[in-house]
Amino acid sequence: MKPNCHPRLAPRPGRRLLATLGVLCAALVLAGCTGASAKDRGWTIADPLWSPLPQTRSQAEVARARAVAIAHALGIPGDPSAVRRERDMMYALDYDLVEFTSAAGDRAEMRLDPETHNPLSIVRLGPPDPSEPKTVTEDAAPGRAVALAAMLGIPLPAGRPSVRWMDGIEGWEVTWTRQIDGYRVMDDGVVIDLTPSGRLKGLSVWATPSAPAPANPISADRAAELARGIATERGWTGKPRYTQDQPEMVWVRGNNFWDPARSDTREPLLKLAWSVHFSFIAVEGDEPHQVILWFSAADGSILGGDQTA
Amino acid sequence: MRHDGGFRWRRLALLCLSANVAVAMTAGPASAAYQASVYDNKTAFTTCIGQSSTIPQSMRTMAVNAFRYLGYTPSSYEATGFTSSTALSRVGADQAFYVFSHGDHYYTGWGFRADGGACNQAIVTSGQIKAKRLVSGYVKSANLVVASTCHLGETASDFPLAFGIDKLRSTPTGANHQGQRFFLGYSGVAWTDEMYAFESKFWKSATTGSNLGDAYYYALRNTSLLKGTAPNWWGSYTYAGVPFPPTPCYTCL
Repeated sequence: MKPNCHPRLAPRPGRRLLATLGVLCAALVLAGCTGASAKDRGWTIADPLWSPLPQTRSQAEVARARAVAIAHALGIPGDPSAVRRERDMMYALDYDLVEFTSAAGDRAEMRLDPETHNPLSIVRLGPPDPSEPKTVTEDAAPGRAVALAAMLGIPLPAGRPSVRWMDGIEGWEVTWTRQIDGYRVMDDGVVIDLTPSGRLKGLSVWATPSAPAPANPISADRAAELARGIATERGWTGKPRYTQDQPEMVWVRGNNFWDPARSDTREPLLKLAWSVHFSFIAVEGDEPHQVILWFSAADGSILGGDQTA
Repeated sequence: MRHDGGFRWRRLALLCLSANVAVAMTAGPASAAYQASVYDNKTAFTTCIGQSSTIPQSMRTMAVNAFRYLGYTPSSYEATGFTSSTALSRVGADQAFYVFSHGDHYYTGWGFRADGGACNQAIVTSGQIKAKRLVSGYVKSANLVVASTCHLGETASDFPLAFGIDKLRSTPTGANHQGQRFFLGYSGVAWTDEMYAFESKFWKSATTGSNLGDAYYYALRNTSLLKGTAPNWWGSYTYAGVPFPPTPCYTCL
């Protein structure tokens, strides 16, 4: 066999370069398509925000039928798309997505729980209509939202919802905060958006699974002591207008606020924690800065938190 | 017998090159003509509270990538690079603008804090910005402005007007359509982790084919904002965010 039939045995600089390019190209393709890195280290902004998941035909049919029934009940026009099962990488949340598009240009998106087939979110796209008569008052908005939730089979958390006018949707936003065993869940609940005349504009349902509550949670005094220690260590106590509120027992979904080395994916399970709210002047002349820290009710470790902008 | 191993390598390289060119082209229209500025006040959310955070840099990265995708030429600044003089020296020519910082109605007017690398931060006000964008009889409009701060998206805020974006929302009938103008901000106190989640979804949607109004509402309903963060917008709902030459806003004075 002639030597030129074995190019690998007779490398030339150009071929080496091309080989290197080929390997780099393959690596780029793999990195872009598999999302394996996101799985390994959790989600960051460099990764895709959602990822496709496998779904059987029967699962898709069930989801589609449920979506069509919901659309019919709400008067959402248009034909449903094929069902896509995806994972929201930031919230580690799986859902079945169905989109509706009508000939007149109406569009809506529905995300359903793959297990219960209840809506996780409904989004009726398109600009708000200021000409719609404002026939639903602030006092009447919760009742209207309750009726819509009942019609869709969405269980609502106990207690009174909060109601506010949302400029961005030019409608009412009615919010129930979820509770478990009498304790508030920081980032879970049901949010229902109403148009001024009481039609459903959209909704969100957040119901994160929870870890068992610790058998012997640390005391509020211990949480306050830990919080005071952090505040002293970080120099907050010496700042103008420093305040530290009493700890409140809540369920939280840990984040990387206190440990930025962790990924941006939220923790998969709720954990019981003492939430402590701090306030102090961080930037001279500014309004007081607010920080919340979540101390694990089990061992006092910091599970996450947040700060105001 | 002719061996075409070299041909295969060349073909692979060409395919790879073509794929990368295609990816680059689908990443958005390229233009060097439309200036964008992106600022994050890293110091306020790290040094000034004695805690590190990746959120300021992540916010900046997302905005830079989105502006670039949409066709702007972004430059970004933080810490000692983000001063009031830097922002004011550029803002007159910005067609897209993003700031992640503290924002409020200060005694000098609506505005935000520049970083500067210290905790005694200068305020950049809407009045100062407007002065840089003022042309005889009108304010030169920007295309896309995001004030990722507390308060600047409130109804009373005049911050959008400084960029030539009137506080109107386009309607389904096309009324109030303002051409290529969109402002995104927050009403009241906003929590940074919620803002980060919201903006992740907003930018993702805006750079995958949605118009900015749809991106806003998709992000609003698919982000947990139960601490009370309230994003708000003004401008043209159906605008896709791509750059256009500035137009005059006569009602923004």
